[in-house]
Amino acid sequence: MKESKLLSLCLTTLLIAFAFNAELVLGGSDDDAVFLERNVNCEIKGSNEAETEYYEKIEVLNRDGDYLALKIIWESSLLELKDFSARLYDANGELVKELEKDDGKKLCGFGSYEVYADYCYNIFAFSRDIYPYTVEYSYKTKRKTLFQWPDWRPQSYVPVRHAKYTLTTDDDFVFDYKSSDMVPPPDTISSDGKKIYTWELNDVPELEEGDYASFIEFGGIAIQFAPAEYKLGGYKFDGSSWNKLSQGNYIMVHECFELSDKQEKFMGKIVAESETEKEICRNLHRRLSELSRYVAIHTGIGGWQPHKSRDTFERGYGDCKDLSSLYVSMLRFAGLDAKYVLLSTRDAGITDPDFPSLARFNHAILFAVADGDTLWIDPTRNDCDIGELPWQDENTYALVVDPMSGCLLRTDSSTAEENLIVRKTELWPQKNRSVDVKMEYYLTGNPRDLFSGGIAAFSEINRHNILTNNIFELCDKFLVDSLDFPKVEIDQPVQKLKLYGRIRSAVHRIGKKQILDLTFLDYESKKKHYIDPETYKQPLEYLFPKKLVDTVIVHLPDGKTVVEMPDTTRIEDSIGVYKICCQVSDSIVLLTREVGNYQYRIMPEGFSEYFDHRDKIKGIDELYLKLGNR
Amino acid sequence: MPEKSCKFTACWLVIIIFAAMAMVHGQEWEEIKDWEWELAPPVEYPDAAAVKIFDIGKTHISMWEGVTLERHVRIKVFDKDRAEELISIEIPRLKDERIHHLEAHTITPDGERHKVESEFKKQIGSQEVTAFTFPAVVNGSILEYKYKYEHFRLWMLDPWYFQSDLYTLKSRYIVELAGGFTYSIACNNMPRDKQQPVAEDDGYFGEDYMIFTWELDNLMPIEVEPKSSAILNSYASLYMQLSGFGGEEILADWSEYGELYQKTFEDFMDNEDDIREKAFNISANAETRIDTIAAIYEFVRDSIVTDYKLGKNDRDAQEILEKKSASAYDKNMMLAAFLQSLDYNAHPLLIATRDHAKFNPEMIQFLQFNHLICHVSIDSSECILDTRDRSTAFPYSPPDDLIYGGVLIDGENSRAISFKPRPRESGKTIETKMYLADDGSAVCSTCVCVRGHNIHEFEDYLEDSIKESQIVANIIDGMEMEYEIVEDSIYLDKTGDSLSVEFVLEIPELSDFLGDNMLVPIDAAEVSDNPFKSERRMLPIDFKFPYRAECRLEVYPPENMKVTELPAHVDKSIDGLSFTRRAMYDGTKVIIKSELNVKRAYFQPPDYEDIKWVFDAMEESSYDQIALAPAGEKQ
Repeated sequence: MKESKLLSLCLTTLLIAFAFNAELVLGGSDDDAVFLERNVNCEIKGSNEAETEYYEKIEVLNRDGDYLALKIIWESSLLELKDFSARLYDANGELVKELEKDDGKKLCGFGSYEVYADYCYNIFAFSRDIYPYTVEYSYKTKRKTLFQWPDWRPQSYVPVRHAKYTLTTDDDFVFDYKSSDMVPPPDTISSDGKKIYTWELNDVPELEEGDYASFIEFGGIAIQFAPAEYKLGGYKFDGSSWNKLSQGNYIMVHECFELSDKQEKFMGKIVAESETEKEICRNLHRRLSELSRYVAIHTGIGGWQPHKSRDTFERGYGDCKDLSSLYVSMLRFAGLDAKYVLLSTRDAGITDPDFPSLARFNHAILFAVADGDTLWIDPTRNDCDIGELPWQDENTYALVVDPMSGCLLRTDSSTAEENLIVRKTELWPQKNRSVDVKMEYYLTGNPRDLFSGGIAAFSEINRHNILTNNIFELCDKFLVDSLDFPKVEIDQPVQKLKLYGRIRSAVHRIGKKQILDLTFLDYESKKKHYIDPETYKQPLEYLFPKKLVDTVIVHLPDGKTVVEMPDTTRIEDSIGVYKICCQVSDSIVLLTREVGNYQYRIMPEGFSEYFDHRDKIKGIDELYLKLGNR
Repeated sequence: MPEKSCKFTACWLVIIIFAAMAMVHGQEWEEIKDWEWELAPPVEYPDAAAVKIFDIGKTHISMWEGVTLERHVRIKVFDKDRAEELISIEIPRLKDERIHHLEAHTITPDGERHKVESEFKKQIGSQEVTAFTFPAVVNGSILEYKYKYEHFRLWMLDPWYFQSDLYTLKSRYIVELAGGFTYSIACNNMPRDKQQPVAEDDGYFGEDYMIFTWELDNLMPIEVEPKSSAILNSYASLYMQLSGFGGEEILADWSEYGELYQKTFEDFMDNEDDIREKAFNISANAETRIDTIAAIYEFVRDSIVTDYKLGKNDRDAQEILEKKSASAYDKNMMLAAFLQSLDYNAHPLLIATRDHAKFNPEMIQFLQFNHLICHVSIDSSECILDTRDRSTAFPYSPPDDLIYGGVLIDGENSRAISFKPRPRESGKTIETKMYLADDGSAVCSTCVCVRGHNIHEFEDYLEDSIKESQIVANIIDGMEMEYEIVEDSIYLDKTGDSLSVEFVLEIPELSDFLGDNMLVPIDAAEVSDNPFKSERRMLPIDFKFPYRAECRLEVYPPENMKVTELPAHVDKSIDGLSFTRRAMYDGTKVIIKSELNVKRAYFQPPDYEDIKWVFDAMEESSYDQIALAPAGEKQ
């Protein structure tokens, strides 16, 4: 019944998005709220449990700060909410309302993307429309594993006046921590067999938001924790090195690799049909893409342990762990060296190779050594061929899960030449100042995957809408009359796309001359909110290296000739490229351009080079042709 | 009989029994026909990722067994990658009600059956949801599930929705009604010739039954579309309400429902003397009866914080006055309580808000309501009052309450009433003076004025604590360029039924340059927002209220530049809607006047093409520019 699904999905998505993503959307403007206090008191009990007390006091100044009056606390089989209380005060400090644990609304089983997840959200909310008001939250949780020991991240998109983290452990408890530069070392005291660490900050700077801001919370102020050892669902993990963590994970995962008779028969057929190891990989991926789909069901430690390969095969669905272990087990049966791999996708976080921790990994993929080559495979993407990774998996640290030689390595990167947007455009300026346009796109690499993966889920109507409104940031004023794009199969490396449309009022009359405005061809909008080089400290995110190779043919109207056209320009450096060349022949103008970026992201230490590049491009004239009479 | 023969016979018996069971099982699931395997997406919905081949519901109603719904759904999948959301099933139930005999499977094109082994229980408040997903789905698979749902809510059956988010080839609803029961039926969005069921007599186990069957075919899926309202009314659906048993009428009309509700209201008003005294104090300075109502309305609206916008919060009047917070529902009960205590003809009014559903007075069911407001009769006029939003001035209603009827709670005189929303002149005016510099920068002095129902967009600006710069930032939120608000330039004014904000912006890179020629954008974002992107439309279009959005832009070019090109005139007009734009140059400045005039709130789907034509033109023309060239340049 869709009604319930709509209700619950809307409620869940709204609340979660409200609580978690609202912080990423808002901010960067005048204060909507202020954290007066943001304190955490964590006590490690023994070697595998933690009790944590949280206290937050927030002054909400206007409607945009209301989201901070909402508190969502997770519970699962490994995390228990023990106590909760909250208070709402008016502007005069008078108590208006109190909430206890039972006053919360509980949603259980609803994941953010899972069909089912065995955790619950406890939702506590104050609603008030007279500002300012103050809310106070105090609650306690009990964690039955030190796996995913939460970081301390006191920053927010609103100011934080005072933040404190207190950690109490037994004297002999061993752990590691990593704090960012702005965090001072802790005060440490020993007392009665306990060690107490305290980190304290005043006037914590707000997180900054920008147009090209990295969508991960980069750097900033944080402390990450990693226990020397921990247990998860009966499995032990040694956190002293990546190799040890890999071993622990292998023990948890390899039990799932056993195949059924049906699987063995299936794999036997594939091997028989294939002449090389690469073909085995390719044929397996194609067959399993037809037979399986991505569905996440998390129960027990199911968030971390795959379901058995035989069950995933039988069900025909699974999440990234399930599908990766399915592939690994079947390729191994075929005699290939296949490895299960964990990673943190590019949009989720940056792994520190010097800080072993499984906690930040959010995805599983695999690689196989086939015919001497290492082939990466993301089995959750049946639009990506073997050896190709979606951009989120590229160029990032990944942990190879192996009983002996587990280690951290980097996944394959792609280059701008591999991520091409080749575009052929023909323009026919009209007497009514509009321009008729025919465009053909040929997408390879990540642009192809982004396109086919992104639109695959949408109906025809919505695809049209998406392409009409946001064709790789082409231009809003491009009016699409029709478009055509065949669905590509895995083995087709190029996505073709044809568009027919027009640009209204692109020809401007200046006396007897006409100016044909070609700025609608710009791949990147000129009027972006450029980051302030003085204050911006987060990485600039390009997603992946890519290049637009643009060929534009302008069919000049009768009696018209070109009197002014763009100068040939070539800018190329380590950041990217901008080339343009224009030629006229009879009634045709041929404009060729290359616009691209060579980096995945620019870290703050590379900003000066980026700004040089950006300033050179800004200095180039806008794209146009001046036409006059013959 | 010899032992060997016994064993032989026993074996055969076992085989026969199992075969019989398999046959019965196969019969229960109904064989899949060849045409179902050959089924392709329907012509009118060629992009369907999946379709419902059938959706059959049978509700059995009897005194002893209560209500049992048996449901059987069969789905054909064309594209599994696009159908994922549609083929993960959730079945909600209320606490203490039962779902059982849930079975589901996938049948792949090779004929193999894959059973659903796992189902999961989710919880949301007092509702539990049974969830599962189908295994082994490939393109061309057929999915099936069935279950039984039992409850004892004889008085209130769940509606049957013939339409859903999947294209449905056939939806059949059967009601088996035991003797003695009488139900009233309300059909929603069903063709007239399908509203009367096929009826037949039946009986088993000594009971008389009547069987009623409704069936609809080839139903398009319902999708959420912009500017739509009363979504529930868009679904072809059937509502059933118990209206009699054993010859006795039960809750046959609104008066009986109203009497039940009156009790709730009386409990709410528990301490009437205190309420009267408070009401008297609030309105002590009022000179006329209307002023009294206005004073009390404004008190409830402003002095009691709205806790939740919709829904009852189970507080009585005393508690609300102490805590000074309540749900909108309870606040309106409070308003009715205050006014009644002063002997005004005021009553709670149950309504379906405009975005929720259209009130059907023939359907005696509380299910259709989602809100409660206050109805006041004074002299020969009436007021429909809702205290939930601070931006709603007396005696108006918020846009979502612009409805045409509800149920007045007045004890045994409770009844369905109809009324017209009070007309209210609404609109938005944006006036901008733009002073251009020859480097492409500009200083813009803008005044944004909203009036009537359009004030709701600016609700935030009534908060005393919100910073003025925040107001301006919200107004120009969609502007994709850098700007700076000139300090101390913001002026906010709320007078009567209008609200205005004036401010000055500096925009360093407003204009584009093509060589020496300057192109100045003229987009007034507030006027040019076009929600109508889709080529087709299923649901009526609802703007909620008529309004006019006007924009006047004066552009002062730099001294050393001259205007060479103005944006073209635009004139798009249909019945009920128009957009016009005029541009002129008076030698000193360019004046551009745009106006979007929504003359009526509600349009039917066949009007969509024309509406889209107007809005497309409006959006397209927003990209036009003024062209300037250096004054001395020879053209």
